[in-house]
Amino acid sequence: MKGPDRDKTPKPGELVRQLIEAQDERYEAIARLLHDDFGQQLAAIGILLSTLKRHLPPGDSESLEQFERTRQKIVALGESMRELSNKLHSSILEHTGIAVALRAYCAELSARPGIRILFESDGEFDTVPLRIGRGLYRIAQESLTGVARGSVRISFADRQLEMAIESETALSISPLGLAILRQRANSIGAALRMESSRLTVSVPLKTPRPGAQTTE
Amino acid sequence: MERPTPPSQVTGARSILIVEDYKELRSLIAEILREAGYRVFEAANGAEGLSLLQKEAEKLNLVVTDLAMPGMDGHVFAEEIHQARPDIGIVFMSADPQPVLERAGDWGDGIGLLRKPFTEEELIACVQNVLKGA
Repeated sequence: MKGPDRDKTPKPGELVRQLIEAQDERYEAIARLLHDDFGQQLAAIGILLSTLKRHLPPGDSESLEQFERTRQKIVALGESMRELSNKLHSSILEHTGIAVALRAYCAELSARPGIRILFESDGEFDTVPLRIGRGLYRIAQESLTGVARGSVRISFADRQLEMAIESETALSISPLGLAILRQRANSIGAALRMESSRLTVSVPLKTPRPGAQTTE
Repeated sequence: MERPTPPSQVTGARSILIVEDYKELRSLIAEILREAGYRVFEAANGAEGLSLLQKEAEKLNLVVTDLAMPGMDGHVFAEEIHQARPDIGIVFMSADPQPVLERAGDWGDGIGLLRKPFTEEELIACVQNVLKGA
């Protein structure tokens, strides 16, 4: 391949970035389908089912029990869809920003048996662009996979946004996974440092704001 | 099993605006609330909802709205409602309650949350509770 054609071939790093963006777009589309279509249909089924309850014969405990079991299945299905949708695309991030989204994600992980992920934030994050928030959130999601006990800390001071993820044991990130994380970091102008049990992402930003909040 | 007592018999007919882009769900909710004795207005999105709110401002007591809607996000819609009518109650419907819980303080008292999927009993109970407080 010569001259102009060769120039059009993306560099490996650029190709990975494009693949990550394409993957994220696909994830977001699936998440929206789950929420906007499947979720709405499930909500309609839930209400329709509940209206049937009025037509059950009085004292028919067996039918009432079946009704309740069906209702619980619908609620559980709705919860599974919500979890999957949020895993693919965080609606909390869109509405409330990176710090709240990370706090909610840590709380969600910690609700699972045997998992405890602490969260701490220092600073105000209102001015963090959504694009950067999305990148950080994805890095946190991907690097926390398999972590049973650890922490996520995010701080914003001196025009520097920093996120640190720590595990009590070594982080289980494959070489390919790490390459993807580095590319995600690059795509938002961040530097990523990886040690065995600690991963740090630093992003220079223009507008710092003082303040502090800490939650688990 | 009987439907809860029609609120019109205890509180007089109150008016509710339902804002939901999924038509089937909106119709179901409207039907349940009408049968429960409320006057119901329907809108398919935030812009329609705000237009109805302006036209029927004096009549409306409560807005029941989806959180994720095309065109105007439910949070933005809630802020618009709160500015136009700070006294009106708002019930959010959402499969994911966390964004509402995080920002509920922004809209003051008179906020309700219905987690989808919900039952007709939960719908009526939530509407009654917010109307009592609004």
